[in-house]
Amino acid sequence: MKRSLGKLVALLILSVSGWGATYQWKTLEAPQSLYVHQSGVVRYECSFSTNAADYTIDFKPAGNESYKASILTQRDRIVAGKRIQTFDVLITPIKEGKIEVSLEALIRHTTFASIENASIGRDNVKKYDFDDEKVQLPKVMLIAKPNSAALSGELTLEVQIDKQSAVAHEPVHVSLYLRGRGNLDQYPPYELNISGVSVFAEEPMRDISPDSAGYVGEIRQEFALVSDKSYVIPKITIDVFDTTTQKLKQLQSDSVAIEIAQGYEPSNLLDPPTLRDWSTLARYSLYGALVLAGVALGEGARRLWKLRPRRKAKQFWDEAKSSKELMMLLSLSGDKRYELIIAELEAGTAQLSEAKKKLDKLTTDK
Amino acid sequence: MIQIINDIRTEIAKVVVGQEKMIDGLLIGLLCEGHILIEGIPGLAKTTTVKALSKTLGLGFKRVQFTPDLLPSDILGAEVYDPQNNGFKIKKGPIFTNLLLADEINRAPAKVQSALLEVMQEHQVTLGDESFKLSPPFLVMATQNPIENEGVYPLPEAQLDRFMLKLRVGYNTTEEELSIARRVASSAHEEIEAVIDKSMLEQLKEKVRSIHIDEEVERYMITLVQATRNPEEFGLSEIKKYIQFGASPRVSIDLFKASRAVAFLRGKEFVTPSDIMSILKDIMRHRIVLSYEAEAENIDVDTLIEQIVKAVPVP
Repeated sequence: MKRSLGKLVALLILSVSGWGATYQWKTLEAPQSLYVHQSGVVRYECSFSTNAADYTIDFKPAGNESYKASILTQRDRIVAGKRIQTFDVLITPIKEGKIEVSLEALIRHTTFASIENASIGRDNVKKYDFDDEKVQLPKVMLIAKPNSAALSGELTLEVQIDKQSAVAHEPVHVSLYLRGRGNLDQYPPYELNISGVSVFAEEPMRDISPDSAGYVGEIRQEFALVSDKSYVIPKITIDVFDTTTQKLKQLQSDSVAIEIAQGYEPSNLLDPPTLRDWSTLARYSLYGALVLAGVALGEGARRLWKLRPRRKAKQFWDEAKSSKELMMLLSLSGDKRYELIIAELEAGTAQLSEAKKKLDKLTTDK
Repeated sequence: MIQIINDIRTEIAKVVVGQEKMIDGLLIGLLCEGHILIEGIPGLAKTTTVKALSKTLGLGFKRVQFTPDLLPSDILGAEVYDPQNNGFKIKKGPIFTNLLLADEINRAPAKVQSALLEVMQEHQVTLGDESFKLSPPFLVMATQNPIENEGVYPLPEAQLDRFMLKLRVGYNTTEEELSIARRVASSAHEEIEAVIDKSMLEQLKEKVRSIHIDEEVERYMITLVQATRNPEEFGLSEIKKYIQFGASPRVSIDLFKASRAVAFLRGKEFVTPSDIMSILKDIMRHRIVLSYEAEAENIDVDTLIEQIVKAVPVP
């Protein structure tokens, strides 16, 4: 890859006047050539003539069939009272040949009156008003060189195997790690095929983040190998275009022999525990006894609850404080059952407490 | 004398189980010549009891089933054309009797109920331009379903005031209901016999009138009535808003009469406050007009009467 580092290639595209501020787009840095699937950074800069607080740049780079484009970083700063916004755009060629990187951005201009109206909510205004201007960024020409490898970058391969001997049908776990910088997002799931071995492969787990070379981080793919016979895990080979040496490279692991000893037959492993097993029987018996004890305890509690001393229901005569008052309350109720007690109270042959006892008895007998 | 009352009770008990309070109320009405209004849900032997009472008395008895299309002339009578004499003649209605059972009285519209006003108060009927005095005794015993039921009209206050007692009938006890079911299932009803005639009834009434009321007790009754009109004077300011109109002077009159009858039924020679209490609610409950606030707060008139009784000192 060749770069014009430290050299400002000023490609003035626009110089807009008539608005509140003028601005200029430049390309600060751009690769001249890249290999297919190799990512490179194109740095664009937009310089305003003022602090341009009322300007917004809506820049969503879109690629085409020849290259992919995405924003890696962006930086906004004020230098000597002038706003400068820089974008690092990651360009990755898909096809070989001459590529013209031609991107567009949207310059959105609002006014302070619009900001004020929206902030205060004047006239129910909730959003700013913008004047939009579509801007063609300086074009970048680069050469995409041929590369047959799907992956490119500075990558390493590591393969870990949890054991080298196992009993039949016991899984052996293989972990594949691909680490480094490059187009790790393009990693195709590795297909591991071993004759006489059942291979259970997981989807690759990507722990990667954007980088000037594409992505940086690690990709892990797990395999579980199951067999009833010994076998050999073959060399795991991944073709990579090494961007340091600018050559094709094969990342390769060693082959590993796995010894399988005789173990349980699958049918034995799937058998349910037999009830003749005394420990199981004892356990179930304990569960049964606990259930019965619970039922017995519940029934006992229920019977005890029924035998609890009941609080006497409040009667209307309880609040009577004198024989006369009691007599009046009983008369007022109009219940004929109380007539004898009323007569006794009236004649003075029964006192208050005695009459209340008789009433309680009358109610209980009922 | 009390033996006659017991005989009446025995006869009624042939067809009615329990409901002693209702029977006592009817007897009080009979002894005081006061009209009785019996309220209760259907099926509580209201009509049966009144019919049974009438049979024991050997007096004239008529029954009118009140319906929404009933007309005043259906009860009072009317002038009808007589083609033989080429003139009008009076056709007397069922009101011309001693004991009138107005069954489900609140199913008839207001105009029919109003037709009863003159008869109930003055014991006379005016048909055309002629007035007819009813032969004593004359009693209206009316039954009604609670006003919450479908298809009933509220009785006007003026008519309600003419009823001496408003008896509320409740359900029988379990034992009583068992006895009713057994009787009906075995068709074991007995025939009711008349055990009293007009002259005996007059003697009973005379006896009741002779029951003594002490002046202090008389004043107590009047005070109770006064308390329904001015509850705030008895420390009951909080219930004043619930009462639109207190009890009328008819209540005082009926209290005097009815308390004597209660004392007589209890075999006493004088009235005590307990006699008054036992009949007080039945006399007052339909004559105290509750306010909108009381209806809104679901205040029952019986509860107000209880509060008044507690507030008025007992002699």
